[in-house]
Amino acid sequence: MKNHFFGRIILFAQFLIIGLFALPAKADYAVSLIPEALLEDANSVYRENHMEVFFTGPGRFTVRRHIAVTILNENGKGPDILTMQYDSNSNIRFTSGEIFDADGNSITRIRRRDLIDQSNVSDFSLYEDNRIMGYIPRISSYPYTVSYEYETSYSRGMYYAMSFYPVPAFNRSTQKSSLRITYSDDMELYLREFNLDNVKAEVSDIRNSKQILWNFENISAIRREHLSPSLSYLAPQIMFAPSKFEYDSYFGSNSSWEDFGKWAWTLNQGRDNLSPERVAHLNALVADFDNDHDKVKAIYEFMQSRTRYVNISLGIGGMQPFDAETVDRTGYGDCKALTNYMMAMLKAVGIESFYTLVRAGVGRYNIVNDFTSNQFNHVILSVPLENDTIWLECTSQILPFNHLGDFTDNRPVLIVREDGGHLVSTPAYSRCQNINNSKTIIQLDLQGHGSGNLRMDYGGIYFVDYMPVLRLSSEEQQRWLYRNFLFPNYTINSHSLATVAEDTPVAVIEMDISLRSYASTSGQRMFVPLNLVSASRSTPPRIRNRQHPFVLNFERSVSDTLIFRLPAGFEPETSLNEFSLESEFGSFQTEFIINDNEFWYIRKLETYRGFFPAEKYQDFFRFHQSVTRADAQRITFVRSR
Amino acid sequence: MILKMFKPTVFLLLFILCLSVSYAQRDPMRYNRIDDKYIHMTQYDADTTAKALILGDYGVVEILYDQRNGFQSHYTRHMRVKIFDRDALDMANFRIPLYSSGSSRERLVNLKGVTYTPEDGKVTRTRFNRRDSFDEELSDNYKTVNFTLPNVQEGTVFDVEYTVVSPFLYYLPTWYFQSEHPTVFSEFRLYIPQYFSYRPMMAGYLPLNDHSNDSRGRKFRVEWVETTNLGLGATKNTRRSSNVDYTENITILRVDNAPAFKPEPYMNAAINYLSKIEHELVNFRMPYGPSTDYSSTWPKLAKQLMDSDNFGKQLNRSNYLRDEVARINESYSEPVEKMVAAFQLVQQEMTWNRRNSIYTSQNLRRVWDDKQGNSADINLLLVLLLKELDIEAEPVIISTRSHGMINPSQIMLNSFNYVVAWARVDGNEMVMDATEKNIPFYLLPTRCINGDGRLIAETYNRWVNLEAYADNFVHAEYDITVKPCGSIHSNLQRNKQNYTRLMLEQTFRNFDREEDFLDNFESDYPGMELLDFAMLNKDDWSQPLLTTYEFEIPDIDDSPKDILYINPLILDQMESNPFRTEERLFPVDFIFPIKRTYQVRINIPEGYVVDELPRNARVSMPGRGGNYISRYVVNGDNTIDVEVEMELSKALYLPAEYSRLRNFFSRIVEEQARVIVLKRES
Repeated sequence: MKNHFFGRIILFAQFLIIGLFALPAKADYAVSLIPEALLEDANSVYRENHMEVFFTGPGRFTVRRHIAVTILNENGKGPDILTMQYDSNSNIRFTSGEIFDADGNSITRIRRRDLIDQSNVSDFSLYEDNRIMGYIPRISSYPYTVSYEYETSYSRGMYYAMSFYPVPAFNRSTQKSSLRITYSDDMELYLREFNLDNVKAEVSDIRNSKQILWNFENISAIRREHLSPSLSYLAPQIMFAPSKFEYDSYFGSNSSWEDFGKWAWTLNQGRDNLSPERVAHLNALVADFDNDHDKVKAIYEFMQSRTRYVNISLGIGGMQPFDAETVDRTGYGDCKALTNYMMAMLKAVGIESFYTLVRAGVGRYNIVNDFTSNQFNHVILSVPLENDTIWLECTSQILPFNHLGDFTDNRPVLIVREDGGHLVSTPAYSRCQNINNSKTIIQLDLQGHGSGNLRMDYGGIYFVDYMPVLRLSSEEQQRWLYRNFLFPNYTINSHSLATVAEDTPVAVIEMDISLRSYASTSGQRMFVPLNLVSASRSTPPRIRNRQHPFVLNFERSVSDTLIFRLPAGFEPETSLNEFSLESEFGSFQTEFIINDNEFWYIRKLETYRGFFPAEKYQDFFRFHQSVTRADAQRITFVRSR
Repeated sequence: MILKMFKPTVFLLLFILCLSVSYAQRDPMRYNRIDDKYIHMTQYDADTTAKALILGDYGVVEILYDQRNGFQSHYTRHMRVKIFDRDALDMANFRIPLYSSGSSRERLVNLKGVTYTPEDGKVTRTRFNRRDSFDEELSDNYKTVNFTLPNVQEGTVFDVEYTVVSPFLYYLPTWYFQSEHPTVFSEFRLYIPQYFSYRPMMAGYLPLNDHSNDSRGRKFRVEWVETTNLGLGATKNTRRSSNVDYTENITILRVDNAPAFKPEPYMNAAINYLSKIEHELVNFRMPYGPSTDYSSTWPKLAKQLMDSDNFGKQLNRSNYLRDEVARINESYSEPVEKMVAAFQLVQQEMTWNRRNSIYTSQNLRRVWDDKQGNSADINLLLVLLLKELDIEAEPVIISTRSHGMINPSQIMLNSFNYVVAWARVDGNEMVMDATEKNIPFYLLPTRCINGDGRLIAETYNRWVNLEAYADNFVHAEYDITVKPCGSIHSNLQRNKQNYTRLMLEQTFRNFDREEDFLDNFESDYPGMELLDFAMLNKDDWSQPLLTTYEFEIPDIDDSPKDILYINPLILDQMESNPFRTEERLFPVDFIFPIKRTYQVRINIPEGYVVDELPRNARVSMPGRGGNYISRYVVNGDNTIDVEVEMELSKALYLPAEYSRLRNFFSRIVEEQARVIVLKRES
C-alpha cells in the first residue's frame, strides 16, 4: 500500500516533467504561418490546443490545458476563449498567459491577478457553485493571438465521461492539437474515438503507468450550417471515462449501464421517507380511484400544486437529491429532489416508479448508447403500469400529466433500479400528435373590408409551445394574438383560448376579427391574399453548396381550410395552381373549390423526421420553397359583367 | 458608483452613544400579523387577472451612528405577498445584493420569512430558516444573498423582512412603488439625522397618497477622553461624557393601490415609467464641524465632477499623449481635420469594455496603455486629446436609453451613467462617442440618443441635445422586367446613410460569410431567388452605403398568362401595420426620424398593355408627423414609373399621437397593397 502511494508520487513527478517538455520551445504565432486551408471558413484558429489528463486514482485527477488561439475577426471571440470553469471540488491554477499581435510579437502578459473571477449562474439559482475565471483581451484590432495555460485539479473522481475536441467550435480550425492521458497500470480506462480519420493513439508504458497520446495537425474549420447535426457528430472527438470512480466515498463503475445505474441508485437510498401524516393523506387522496393510472395522475397533480422548481446544485456535485421529507416541508427542489419526492409519494401508495436519467435539450440530444458514463443532465420519472409506461416531468407546475415535451422526448434514457440501470427510450411525438389545424372564414365587402372568424388547433409539441399563452390574461392574450397574426389592418373583436383534452390535450384558439382593407380593390377587381393564417414567413436558407448533413427533428401535420365569402357577382379572374408534392421531407397538397360566392383554399402539409446527406439539402429547400410560393399566391376576383 | 463617505475617523476621540428614543410612528403593517382574510382571499377584485398581489411593501431607511462604524444606513424592507397563480411562484425567490468596496461592506443583519398556506381546509404556517439562504459571490464588489421561501403554493400569503446595514451613504436605496403585480400599498420612510440632507427624485406616473414630513428629537451620549498636562511630562486622562441633542427628520411617502406595470412594444426603457423614488446626498454637516455640499446645483455638481480623481482630475495630465498630439499637428492644419483625426485615433486604439460609467476606471494614462476602458475612460481620453490639440472640447454626461431619461429639473449624479465628448470647431458643435468601431465621428451610437446630456466644464455647464440630427434615409431603385408568364426579373439598388446604414452594416458583420448574409436575406422573401449581390462604399462614409441586388421571382408555371399582376414595391412592401393594438399608454420611440424613397421602373412585356393602374396617393399624418406619396406614370416606351416617398419626421410619438400614427401606417399598408394589372393585347 505504501509502495503504491510512493509510486503515485513518482508518477505525478513524471507528469510534471513530461508536461514541461511538452511545452513548445518558443512558439511563433505570426498569422502568416497559418496554412491557407485553415483560414477558410474560420473566424479563429487554434494554433495549439493541448490537453493532458493525469489520473492519480479513482477519486483524483488533474487536467492541464495549453491553448493558443488566433482570433481573426469579431465573430472569432468565442465565449470559451480565455474562460476557465471550476467549482468547489476543483482547484484552478493559472500558469501563464500572453497576447501576441498579428506578427507574433508579444503585446501583453496576462497575470493571475488580471483575471476576473465570477459566479457562472444564469437566472435564479438558490445555490450553484459553478464559477468562471476569465480575461477579456484588451485588443482593438484583428487578428491577434492569445496563448494561455492552466491546470485544474479535481479532488473527487470522474463520474462522468470527459470529451476532448481538437476543434471544439464551428468556424474554428486547428493547427496543432494533442491529448495525453496518463494513468496507472492498476486502473482501467474506457475510450471512444469519433471521426479521427487517420489519427492513431500512441500507447506507451512508463514504469507502472500507461500513457496514451493522440496528435492532430491541420484540421480545417467546420462551417456552421442551418440544421446541422451537433459538432460532435462532425468533428473529431475522444471520449474517455475511468472504469471505476469514487465520489464522496460512493464507489461507482462505468463497466456497464447496469453498474452505473446501481451507483445512481445507491445515491438515492434512504431519501424517500415521508411523514406518516403525508402517507395517510396521500392514501386518502387516491382511495377513490380504482386504477393506478388515475392514482398516479392525482398524485402528480398534487405534486404540481404544492411544489416548484428551484435550481440548487448541492450534494455529490449536484448528483444527490434532497430527501423527500425536506421537499415535503419546503415545497421546492431541483429536478432530482422533485423527482425523488414524486417517487416517494407513489411508493407511499404502493406504486413503483423509477428515477430516470436523461440528457435533456430541444433537438438532437442523444447520448452515446454504448459508452457507459454519466452523459445526463436532467431527471424525470417513469412509472411502469400494466399496459403502458407513464412519463412524468416533475419540474413543471403546468405541464399536463404524462406529457414530456420536446425537452426530453424521443431519446434514450437510463432507468435507475435496484438491479441496476436500464437504457430505454422516451416516447416520440408523432405526426398525428403534433397537429396544427385551422379553419378560417373571411367575409369581404365591395371595398375589400370585412370580418374574419378563425379557429386554430394545436396538439402535441405545439400544445406545449402554446401552453404559456393559455395561461396569460385575456388582455395579454390579445396582445400576443396581435403580435402573431399579420393581417394588414385588423381589430380583434373577441377571442378565446382553451384546452380541449381528448386523449392528448389540444390548445384551441378562436377569434373574431374586423378586417380593414384585407383585399385591395380597384375598378372591377379585388385582390385577395390567399393565406395570411398559416403561411410560413420565411423559407429555409438556400445554402448553395452545403457541406454537411442535416437533421430534421420534428414531424408534424398541418391542415388548413380558408374560406372567402365575396359579394355577389365576383369570380376568380385567373385559375390558380394546385399542388401535390411528395418527398422524403414531407408532403404538401392544395385544393381550390368555388362554391357560388364562396372560395375555398384547402391545404395539407406534413413534415417528416430524418437525417439527410448534404446533397439532399437543395431538394429540401425546393420543397419548402414550393410551399411558401403556393401560399404567397394572391387570388384576383373580378366582377362578372 | 457608490461612494464611501464617512469613516469612523470623523470623530477621533469622540464616542457617541446613540440613545434611541423609543418613539415610533405606527407601522403600516407588522411582521407576521397577517389578517386571516388575506389567507383565504381567492382573487383581487381590482384586477382579477393578477397572478400575485403585493399586500404591502414597506421600506424604512434610518441613518444611525455607532462607535465602530460611524454613520450607517439601516434599510429594512418588509413585504407581504399573496400568490394567486403558480406562474407567480417566483415572487418567493429573493436575491439581495450587497456591495462592498475595500474594507467597507454592506451587511445583511436580519432576514426572516414566514408563509401561510391554506391546504385541505387548514392553514399551514412554515417559517423560513436563515440556514436555507446562500451567498453567491458575483464579483469582487458584489455578492448576493439568495433565498426562497418554503411551502409557497397558489393561495399562499407570505411575509418577508430583511435589514441591510450599509456604510455607503451617498445614495439611499431606490424605492419602487410599483411592480409587475398590483400593490395594495407601498410605503417608504426615511429617518435622517439633521446632519444629512438628501435630494429626493421622484419618477413615474403614480401620485403619492401620502407625503408627510415630521421631526423628532433624539439624543447622543458623547464620550471622550480629556488629557490634562500635570507638568514635568506627566499627564492625566479623564473620561468625560455629555449628551448631544439632534433632530431626526422623518419623511413618509406612500402610494396606495398601484396597478400592475406592463411594458409595451416600441417602448424606451421601462425604467422611465416605473414609479420610484431615489435619494442623493446633497449636504452633510458634521456635528460641531463644517458642512460639505454635494451636487445641490448644477455648478456644484460640475465642480464636484471636475474635482473628482475619476473625472476632471484626469484631464490635467496629458504628457503621455504628446507624441500623438505632435503627429496630428504635423499631419493636419485645419481644426476640423484635427478633431476627426483625434476621434479616429481614440476610436481605433481603444476597445470599449461594454461598461457604462461616468467615472474613469483608473488613471487615464493606464487606460491609454491598456487600450481598453469604459465609456468615461474612452471619451475623457478623447476630450483630453482634443484639448491638447487646442480644440474647444468638454465632457458631456448622459444617461443611456436603457438607463432612463434625464429629468432636467433633478440634479442627481446617479441619473447619469455615461460620458460622451463635446467639441466646438468653427462655431459648429459636435457630440462624439469613440467607444464603437465602424461609426463616423458625427454619429452617436443609438444607446446615447436619449434627450439631453449635461456639458461639464471648469467654468460653466449647460444642456446639450443628443438627438440624432443626421439625415437617415433609404433610397431604393428597382428596374423590373416582367415576363409573359408572370415571372419577375429585377435589379435593385439601395442607398442607405447614417443610422439606416449602420444597422445594415451591423447585420452584415454578424454573419460569418457574405453567403450566409445572402441566404438569410433570401429567406425573408419566400419565392425570391437572388442572382447577384454587391456592397459598395462599405468603408467610405463620405458616400451612402450602396447595395445592389439582382433577383428573380419565378411564377409557378412557365406558360404565358392573359393577365399579369404586379406589386411594384416587391421587397419593400409593408404588408401589415406594425401598430396593432388600438391604445397605447407610453410613447412610440423610433430613435431617429427616417425618410424612405423608392423609384420603380417596370418594363412591360411585348404584347401587353396596362389595364389598371393604382391612383396616385398622398397621405399626411396630422401635425406634421409624417408624409406618404405614391405616383404612377405610364410612359410611351412601354414602361411604368412608380415613385413612393415615406417620411417619419419625428423620432418620438406621444400616446396622444398614437391613433394618428396607427392610421398613417394603416393607410400606407393599404396604398402599398395596390396592384398594377397588365393585359395581353387581343
